[in-house]
Amino acid sequence: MSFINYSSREINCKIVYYGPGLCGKTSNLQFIYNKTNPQTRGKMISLATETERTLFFDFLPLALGEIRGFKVRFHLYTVPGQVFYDASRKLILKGVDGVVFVADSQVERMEANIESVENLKENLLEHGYNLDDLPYVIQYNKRDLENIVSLDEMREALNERGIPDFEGCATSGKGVFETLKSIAKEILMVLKSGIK
Amino acid sequence: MAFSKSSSLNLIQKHIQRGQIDKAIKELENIIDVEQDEASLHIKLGDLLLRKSRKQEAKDAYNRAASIYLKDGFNNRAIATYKMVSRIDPNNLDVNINIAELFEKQGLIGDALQQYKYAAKMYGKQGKFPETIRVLQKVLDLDPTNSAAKIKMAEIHFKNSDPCAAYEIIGELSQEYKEKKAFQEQVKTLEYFLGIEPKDKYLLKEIARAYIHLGNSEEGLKRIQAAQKLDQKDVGTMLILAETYIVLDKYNDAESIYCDILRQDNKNHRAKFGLSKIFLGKDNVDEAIKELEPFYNDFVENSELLELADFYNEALKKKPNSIDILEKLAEIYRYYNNIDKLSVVYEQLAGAYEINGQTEKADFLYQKILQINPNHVKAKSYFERGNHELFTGAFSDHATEANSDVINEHITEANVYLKYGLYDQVQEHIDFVLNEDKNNLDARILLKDLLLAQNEKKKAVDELFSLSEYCLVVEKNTQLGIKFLQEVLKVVPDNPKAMERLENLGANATVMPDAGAKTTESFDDFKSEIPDIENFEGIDLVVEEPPEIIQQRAGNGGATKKQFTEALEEAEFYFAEGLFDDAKNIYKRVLLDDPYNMMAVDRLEQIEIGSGNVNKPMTPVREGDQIIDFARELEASLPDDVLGLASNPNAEALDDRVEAENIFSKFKKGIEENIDLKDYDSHYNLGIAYKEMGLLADSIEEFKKAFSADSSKILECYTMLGMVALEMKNYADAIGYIEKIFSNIDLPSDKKIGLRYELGKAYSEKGKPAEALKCFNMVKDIDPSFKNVKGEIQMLLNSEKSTTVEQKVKKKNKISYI
Repeated sequence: MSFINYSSREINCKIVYYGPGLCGKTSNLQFIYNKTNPQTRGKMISLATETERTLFFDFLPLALGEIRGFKVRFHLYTVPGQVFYDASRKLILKGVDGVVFVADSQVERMEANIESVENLKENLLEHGYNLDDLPYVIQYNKRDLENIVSLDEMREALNERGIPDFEGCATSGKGVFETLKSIAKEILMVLKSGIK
Repeated sequence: MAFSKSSSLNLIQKHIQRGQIDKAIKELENIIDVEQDEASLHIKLGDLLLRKSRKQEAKDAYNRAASIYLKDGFNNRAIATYKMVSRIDPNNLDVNINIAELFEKQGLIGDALQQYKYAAKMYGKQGKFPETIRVLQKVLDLDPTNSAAKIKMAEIHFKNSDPCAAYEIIGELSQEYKEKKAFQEQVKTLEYFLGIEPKDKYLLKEIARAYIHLGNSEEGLKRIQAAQKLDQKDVGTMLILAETYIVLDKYNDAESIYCDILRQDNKNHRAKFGLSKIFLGKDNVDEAIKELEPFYNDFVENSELLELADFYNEALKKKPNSIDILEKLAEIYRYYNNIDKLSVVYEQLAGAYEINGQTEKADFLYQKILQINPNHVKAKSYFERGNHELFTGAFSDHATEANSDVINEHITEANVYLKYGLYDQVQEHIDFVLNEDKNNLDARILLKDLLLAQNEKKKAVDELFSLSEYCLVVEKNTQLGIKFLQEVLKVVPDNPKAMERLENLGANATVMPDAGAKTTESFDDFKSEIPDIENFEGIDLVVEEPPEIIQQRAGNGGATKKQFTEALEEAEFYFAEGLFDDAKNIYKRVLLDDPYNMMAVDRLEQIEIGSGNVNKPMTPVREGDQIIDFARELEASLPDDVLGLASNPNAEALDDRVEAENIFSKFKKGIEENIDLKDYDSHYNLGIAYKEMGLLADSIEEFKKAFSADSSKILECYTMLGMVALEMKNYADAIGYIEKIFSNIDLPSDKKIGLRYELGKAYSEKGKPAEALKCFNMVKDIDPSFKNVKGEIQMLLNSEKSTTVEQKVKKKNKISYI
C-alpha cells in the first residue's frame, strides 16, 4: 500500500496497468509520458526484449500535487502481458495501490482478457489483496479497430461489478487520461481517509 | 505390368477421397517397396497409418523418413519429422534428444535447449534420475549459467542420496550468487534446499555465510548455531561461528570458540588468525602479530597470503611506520610479484628506515624504487637532498630547476587526486610541498580545497583567513586578500569576522562567482583577472610556466599538469561511454608518467575485469523469449511438476523465482546500459520501485547510486536507505544511515519527527532500549500523537520494568543462595 516518507513528506502510490499481452499497457504509459508536463514527471523507464515486448516492467513516476502537506507521487507500472511471465507480474503487484485493467477489444482476444483478469485476481490474492477492495478501473482499448467486441459484451464479461470503465485508443490517447484520472481519484480517496 | 508411380499416386488419392484408407496404405506400401529412399512417401504413409490409429507403425514410418532426411543432409526436415514422432509418443524422449542434437549441430542453441529441458522434465517425471542428470548436464553444457538446471540437478542428487554431488553444485551456485552479489537469492535457494534436507550441516553453514553477507548476521548466527548442534566438534562450523560472533561484536564469545578449536587442534592457523584479529581489534598489535608469526607458512600453503596482507595493512594503520609490519607486507607482495603494491610498501619502508636512521637500507630501497619507476618523485627527491652520493652529480647542476619541477609535479598530482577524491594522497603531496616551501600559495589553496572537500568547514575557514592575511600583509595583494574573505562568506554566510574585514577594506561582501572550492586550475583563471599578477613571483613559480617550458617538458616525455588532467578526463569520458580500448590506452600512458596513479590503476583493473566478462562464454544467442515461451507452455500443459517436485510446495515457487530472477537480471543489465549513473531521479525512483517489490538489496544499491549522483540529496537517499535496511531487519545499518542524516543536516522538527521515530524503532529492534526510548521521547515532545509513539514508549517501559524485576529476582536468589 501507499508508501509514506514522513521526513521528505512524500507519499508514493503505485498504479499497475494490467492486461493480456499486446493490449496496449505500454502505449498508455507512453502517451501519458508524452503528454504530461516534463516538470511533473520523471524519466520513463521502458526496456523492451528483442521482440519489442516489455521486459519486466515499464515505469513512469508522476507528481500530482499535495495532500495535507504531503507531496503525492504516482508510480505507474505495466506488467509483462505474456502468460509465462507470471512470476514477474506477481512481483510487480506487490504493494499496489490501484489497478488499471487494459482490455483488448478485439474479438480474438476476449479469451485472453478473461484469463488475464482471473490471473490478476489470483496474483493479488497471493499478496493478500482482494480485487473487490482495491481501487480498480477498466479501459477497453483498441476501440478504433474493426473486429471488436461490443461494449455491452465486454462489460458483461469483464465488469460484473460495474466499476468505472472507459473506452480507449492508447495510440491516439483516447480515454488514456480519463482512465488515469479515475484511478488516481480512487486512490486519493483511500489515501485521504488514511492520512491523519 | 510396368510400375507407374504417378498412376499409383492417383489411385491412392482416389482411395483417400473414398475413405478407403487401408487400400491407400497398401498401394503406398507398394510404391515404397520400389522407391524406398523417398522420405515424403514414408511421411505420407505415416499420416495414413495415423488416421487408422496404427500409431506404432506410423512412428516407424516417420522415423524411416527422418533417417532418410538425415542421410541426405536435410536436417530441418528431419527435425520436423521427429517432431511428428514426438507428438504421437510424447514419452519417447530419445526423439527429443535427437531433435536437440540436430538443433545443436545447426547452432540453434535456444531450440536445442527447449528440447533438452523438456526431456529432462519428462525423465524426472518418470523417475529416471540418471537420465535426468545426463540431460540436465547437456543443458548446462549449452547454458552454463542456467541456475534452474543446477538447482534441479542438486535436488536430484539429494534424492539419490548423493549429497556430495549436490554440495558441489550448490557450492558452484553459491559462488555465482556471490559474484553477482545476489545474496538474497542465494539465501532463498539455500532455504529451499534446507526445506528438503533440514538437518544438513553443509547447507546450514552455507546459509549462515549467506546471511552474514546479506548483513543479517543475527539470522546467520542462528543457522550456524543449528549446524553446531548437529556436530559440536566440527572445526569448520566452529570457525564460522566465531567469525559470526566477530561480526556481531561479540569478541569474547569468538575468542572462546577459537580457544576451543585450538584445544582440539593447536596448530589450526585459522583459529590463530581469528585470535590475532581479535587482539588487533583491541589495539594489541604486538600480541596479534606475535600470535601469527609461527603460522606464516600455513598461509603460504593455503594460498591465503592476501588475507594476511589485509591483516598487516590493518595493523599498519594502528602502528604506522612499523618496520616489522612493513617488512612482512613487502615479503607478501614480493611473493605475489605485485609490483604496484610492492613499490608503495617500499616507499613507506624506506621512509621508516630513514626516520629510524637506517640510511643504508633506505638508500637501497629508494634505488629499488627508482629501478621500478625512474621518475618516482619521492625517491628522486631523496637523492636530490644529497642523501646519496651516487646521484648528487646528476642533479646538482639543475637543483633549483629540479626543485621547482618537483613541486610542480606534486601540485599537479594533488590536484588530480583531489578531483577524484583521493584525499590521503592529496594531503601527502601538500605536506611535501609545504615542507619544501611553507608559504607555497598553490599548496595552501589546495589545502583549503581539501578541507572543504572533507567538509572540515572550520579548518577551511581558518585557512582562508590565514591566506587572506598572507596576501594582504606579505604579498600586499589586496584583491587576492578580499577574494579569500569573500570565499569565507560562501562557506559560512554572515561570518562577522569576514564581513567586518571586508567592510574595513571597503570591499563588497558578495561572493564572486568562482570563489568557492578553488583548485590551482581555477586559480589560473582567477589570476588573469588581476592586472599586476606578473609581479607575484611566488605565484608565478607554480602556475605561470612559459609556453616554451611547457613545450620542452612535453618533449621530454613528462606531461604537464594540464595535459595530465586532460588525459585523465578524456580517459574518464571514454570509460564512461564504454570505449574501453581508448580509455585503456590513455590510462596506460598516464601510468607511464605516474605509475602510482590510483585512478588509472583502478580503471585499468576494472577494464580488465570487464573484458574478462566479455570473453566468458556468452549466453547462447538464440535463447530469447521464445525459449521461455516454450518451456512455460510445456510446463503449463503438463499435469504435475515433471521432476516429481509436486510433493514439495516450494518447488513451483522456486521455478517462478528463477524465472523472475532471470528477467530481473536482464532488466538490471538494461538499466545499467540505459540509465546514466548521474541520473539521480531515475535511480531514486528505481530504488522505490524495487523496495515496493521487495527487492531490497537492489533497492539499497539504487539509493546509493542516487546519492552518488547527487550528494545534496542526503536526506532523501539516507532516509530511504534507513527504511530499507529496517525492512531487511538490518538494524545496525539502519541506525548508521539515519544517524548519518542527523550528523550532516540540521533538520526542522517536522522532518525530524519521522526519522527519529524510525531510528527509535531500529534501536528498539537492535536491543538498545535506552537509545530507543530517547528517540521516542523526542518524537513525543514534538507530536505526542505521531504514529504509535505512545505505544512504543509504553512497551519499552514495560519491558524495562520486567527486566529490572528479573534482575532483582536474580539478585535476590543469588543472595539467598549464598
